[in-house]
Amino acid sequence: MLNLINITKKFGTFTAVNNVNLSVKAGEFFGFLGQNGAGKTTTIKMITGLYTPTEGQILINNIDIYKDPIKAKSLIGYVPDQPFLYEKLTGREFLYFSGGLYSIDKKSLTFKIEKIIDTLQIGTWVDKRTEEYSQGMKQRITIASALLHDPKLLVIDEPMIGLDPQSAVVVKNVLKEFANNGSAIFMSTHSLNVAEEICTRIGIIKDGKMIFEDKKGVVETIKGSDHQNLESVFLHLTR
Amino acid sequence: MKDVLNILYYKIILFLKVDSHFSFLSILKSVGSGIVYLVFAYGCYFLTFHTIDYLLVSVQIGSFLLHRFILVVLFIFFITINVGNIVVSYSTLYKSQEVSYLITKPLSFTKLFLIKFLDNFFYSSTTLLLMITSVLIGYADYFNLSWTFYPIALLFLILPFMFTAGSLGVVILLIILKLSSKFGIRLVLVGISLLYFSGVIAFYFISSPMDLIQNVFNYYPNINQYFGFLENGLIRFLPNYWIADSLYWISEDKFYRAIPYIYANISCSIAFFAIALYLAKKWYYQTWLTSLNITSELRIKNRFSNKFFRFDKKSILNSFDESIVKREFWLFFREPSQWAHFLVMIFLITVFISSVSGINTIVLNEYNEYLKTVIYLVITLFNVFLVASLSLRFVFPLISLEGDSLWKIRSAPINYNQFLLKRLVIYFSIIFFIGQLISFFSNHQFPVQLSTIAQINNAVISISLVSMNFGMGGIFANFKEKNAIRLASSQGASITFLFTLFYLILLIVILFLPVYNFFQLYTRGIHSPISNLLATTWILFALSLLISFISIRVGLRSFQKDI
Repeated sequence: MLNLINITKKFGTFTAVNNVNLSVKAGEFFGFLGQNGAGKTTTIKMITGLYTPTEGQILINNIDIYKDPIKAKSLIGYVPDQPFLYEKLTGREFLYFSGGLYSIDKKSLTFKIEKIIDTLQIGTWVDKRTEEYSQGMKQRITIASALLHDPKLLVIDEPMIGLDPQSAVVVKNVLKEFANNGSAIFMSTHSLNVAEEICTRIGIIKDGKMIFEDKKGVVETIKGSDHQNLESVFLHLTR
Repeated sequence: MKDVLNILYYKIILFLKVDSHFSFLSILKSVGSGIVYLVFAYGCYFLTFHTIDYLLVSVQIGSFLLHRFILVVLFIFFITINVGNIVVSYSTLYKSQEVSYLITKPLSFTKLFLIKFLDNFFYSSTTLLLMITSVLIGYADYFNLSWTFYPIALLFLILPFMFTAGSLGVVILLIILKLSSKFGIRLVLVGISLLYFSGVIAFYFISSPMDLIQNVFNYYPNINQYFGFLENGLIRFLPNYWIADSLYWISEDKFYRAIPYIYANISCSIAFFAIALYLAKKWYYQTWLTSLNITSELRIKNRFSNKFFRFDKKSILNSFDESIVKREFWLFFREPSQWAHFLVMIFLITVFISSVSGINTIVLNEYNEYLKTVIYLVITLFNVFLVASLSLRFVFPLISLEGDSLWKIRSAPINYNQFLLKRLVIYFSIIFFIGQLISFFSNHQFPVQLSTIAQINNAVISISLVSMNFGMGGIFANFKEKNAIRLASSQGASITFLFTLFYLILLIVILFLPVYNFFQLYTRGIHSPISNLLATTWILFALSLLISFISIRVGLRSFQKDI
């Protein structure tokens, strides 16, 4: 579903992402880990078309996002780390606006919006303007807008920031169900226990380079072990 | 005071760091901006020098009336700074995130007010200061004044004068917010606006420039003397009078007669600043809380509904176009600074149209060809100026206003160029329509050939001005700034405005001769071929096409950069 082939991103003389190769299959929940400034957000911005890679190729379902961006982007749902919304629109209006960008017809869009409002339990405040929202509310509206068009790949940057415990559970369940239905998730996070709990595979980036890519079910092994956890693996690898 | 200096120090560091980010593009931008500013400064100098020369030598109005003309210009200047400060101060003093941050620190509200006031004053007055300095150089050069004139005029006349206008602006703002907590913001705004307009109108009644000109010309040809006795005494209490009279006496080489006015000017500036600080000490925090209430109150009251633009309602447009149009509609009408400013501009345009429509055609026919040409061109200039102002205010910020939410557009499966162009078309259509109305109502008293050409020229110019503002808005895009007013008064906007002024000068150069020739033939009753006038339209059309093509290309490219 997602293939990063020799991806490099340079800002002037600084190399933020250095020759990264990675692939995520349909149905996989991939956790992308790394310290602050390791290159996680830069990689995600390249996957979603916000940055152009200096070198390399990014394929979404075998479609090159820079050669055929419109087709590739129609397969992606994106949740940024800072969910800035149009402050003067209500959450529901923002969802309609988002649906319009993906050319979803009105009847189907209305149905999907009602469904996602129900799933994410945002009905009590979805008709307020987003300028009144907390970080967690914005996060949930952003997740809702990313799921509206049934994407094949969901790219999420730090999904749990600002979420209260109840909302975090709801979001985790929604994401797990999304992956179980055969779509892929590429999630960047600092929260190692979240990654351990919901990811099926992980990768670790340090100073722009992939230093670890779980190809042998390490996460699954850790989950079944009483002596190891992801935190110790992560700290060991990023030392 | 140490904490205030500390904050100001870091503000300067921040400013210098922003400007010392070296890349080829940033250097090119800075050099380009520098050249534009220099040319503009020279233009102001040139215009001042030759306008004074024209008025004193060709029209022979005499030094006294010249300085009364300066008095009126200074009044407009004062009002511009004053209103500008009221509007921009509301954003900087009450809505900025920096205030929300600093308010949590152990810093007194008076100091906080002081920091933001100075920040605001110098931010919004830089271009005006540049302009006024160039004007002063032109003035001093004409009257052969010594170098000492410049520091005196700048430090003791102009800066205190601007500071008075700025201080008065924040005083008015504090009073508005203070009264709002008792009487409601709408009532207070209406009341203060009426008072303000009454004040402006009162100035014209008190100064009555037309009466003064007639009274002075009763003494013709002995008009090179001081006619202060012909004026209303009340006018002597106004800061613009002090500046104008100081300049008069300095130009007459009687500096000692300017000293009382300089003293009054500085004292007034200090007094208004002290009043502003005193009121800030008493009311700033209180009014800051009031502003929060007003915001939430307006948010609840302003839930005006428009069924036609509801997102869930079906539309004849495709879903992409529908999304753009509806989003644009709601973002515009839910942002008070957008629709309120638009209404003010429409009001000013209506005033302009109604006064220009009143030009008497019989009287017009009595003028010679030269004056008729000047009147026609001045009206054309005003038309273009109004279109330019609308474009600068509403089109220049278009790209920047996509702001932090740009991630949604950039990650969506859409063609950015189409998205931006569709947004541009919405604003262009409105500005184009207004431009055509202005042109129609302000030119209908001229011969049909001229009014038709004015209509076509206005259309062509509207295309290029809207495009230029779009492109420049892209070059100087600032995705962090959410305030459209601040965007429209930023450095990039100032440079765009200067480009517009060059465009206006070019327009005059292109139009002058064909219009003058037309009036010459028309007065003699000879049927004038419209081809000469159409030639100007073709030149404008070619120019407009070039400007529009380059600007739109630049604007679209700016959107495709990494964000």
